[in-house]
Amino acid sequence: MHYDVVIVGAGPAGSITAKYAAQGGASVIMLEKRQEIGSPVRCGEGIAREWIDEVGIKLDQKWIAYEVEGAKVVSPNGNSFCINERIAGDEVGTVIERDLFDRALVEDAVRAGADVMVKTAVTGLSKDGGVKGVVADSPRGRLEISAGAVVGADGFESQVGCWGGIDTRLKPRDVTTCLQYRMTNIRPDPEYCEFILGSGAPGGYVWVFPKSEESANVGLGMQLRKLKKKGELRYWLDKYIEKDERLKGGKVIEIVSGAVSTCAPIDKTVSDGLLLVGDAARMVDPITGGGIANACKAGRVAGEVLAEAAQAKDFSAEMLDKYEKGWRKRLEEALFRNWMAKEKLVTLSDETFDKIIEVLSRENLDHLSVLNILKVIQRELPELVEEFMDLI
Amino acid sequence: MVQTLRDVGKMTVDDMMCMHCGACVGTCPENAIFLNEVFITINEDCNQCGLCMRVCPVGAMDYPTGHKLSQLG
Repeated sequence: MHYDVVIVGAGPAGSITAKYAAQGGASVIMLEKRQEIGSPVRCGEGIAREWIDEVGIKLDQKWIAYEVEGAKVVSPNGNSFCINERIAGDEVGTVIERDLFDRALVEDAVRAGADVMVKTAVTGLSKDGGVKGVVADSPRGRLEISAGAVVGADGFESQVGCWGGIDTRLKPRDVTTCLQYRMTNIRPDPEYCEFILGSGAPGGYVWVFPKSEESANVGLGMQLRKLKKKGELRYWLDKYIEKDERLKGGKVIEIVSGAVSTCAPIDKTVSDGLLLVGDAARMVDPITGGGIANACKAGRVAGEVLAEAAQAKDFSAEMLDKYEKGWRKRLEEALFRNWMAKEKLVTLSDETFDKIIEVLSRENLDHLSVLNILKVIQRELPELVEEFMDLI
Repeated sequence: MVQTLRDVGKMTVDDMMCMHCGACVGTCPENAIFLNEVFITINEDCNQCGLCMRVCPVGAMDYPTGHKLSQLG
């Protein structure tokens, strides 16, 4: 079997890459190790809408679970400030059904001409100079698929990069590990996705994203460096739930676990016949832990470059470097700035969080983004951001 | 109770507790863990650094029983 492009993983990054590559005339196959696209869900499911058009996704009530005004950031003393969707950054506004969302994106890719196989786990790369294809275990036995280019869209647990000589390893400070309950019979704030900061989730935050008026995704992420004991995360999440009155009597109807990278942009995401996209390329926003928007934005660039490469029959690192340049132009500066900000945030005390939220709740910003928040902090609490002043 | 602890070479995984989420796979500095979406395997590259145990959101990983760093009861 031969394809121009073999994509490992059929999440948002893989599907958008597949769609744009296939649309541009490349022959494409996505290999998904799960038996079912999008399931089980590993996601907090809060997204914004402003980037959806940019990557050609059509809003569909099928995968929209609940709509909110925006995000509410809560400080340890209970003070808060709100970010309305109209003026927000990337990760708030709509709570989705992630499994249905992923399925819709795969269907889009298939409509554009891409092939897909499920329950097919890629176990290695075939190489000859550059990357020349993949080896996979499937229900029909062992498969060898040769390719012009292999795309690692295999998420946080990515191995494709390491197999192909691109270093995607993470330091414990740059890994955030997460546990989430889908709870029902509760009373979440129906207007906002909530982000709760402070020592209740050291080096991370607690989130409550409503999925209906009486159910929500209640989760917690913590920096790996702060975790010592086995299974400690469950202790922190249970502790939070116990003290939040709105969650009293709530029942857990789903457990979701996973991890995200919260690192600075990595040095390299392409080599001969190989390209990484999405969480696999460590493109998750280090502040929010949200990965879908960046994965889709980079996926579009990847797909377009791969289509061009297929036309030219050239999948060399030089050719694929257009993708490297393209995604960096869009995402790199914000990723780096947010990583610097995260490095600072994980060191702050509850009192400092209270002070920051206090300052922000008094502000009336017309465009709220991490950058604008940092600008306010620079003005009001300059000592907090002195290490990365030049990025603000 | 069904015995679900499985010795996977240098570490132990509780297959009943494991959520197959891949947190350990992406964290492993040696890229020694493989998850085929059904069960985890660990290869010879494992150097028993213990990060998989610490990152596991549900506490399914541990050092083998008897290892000095094991947190198994």
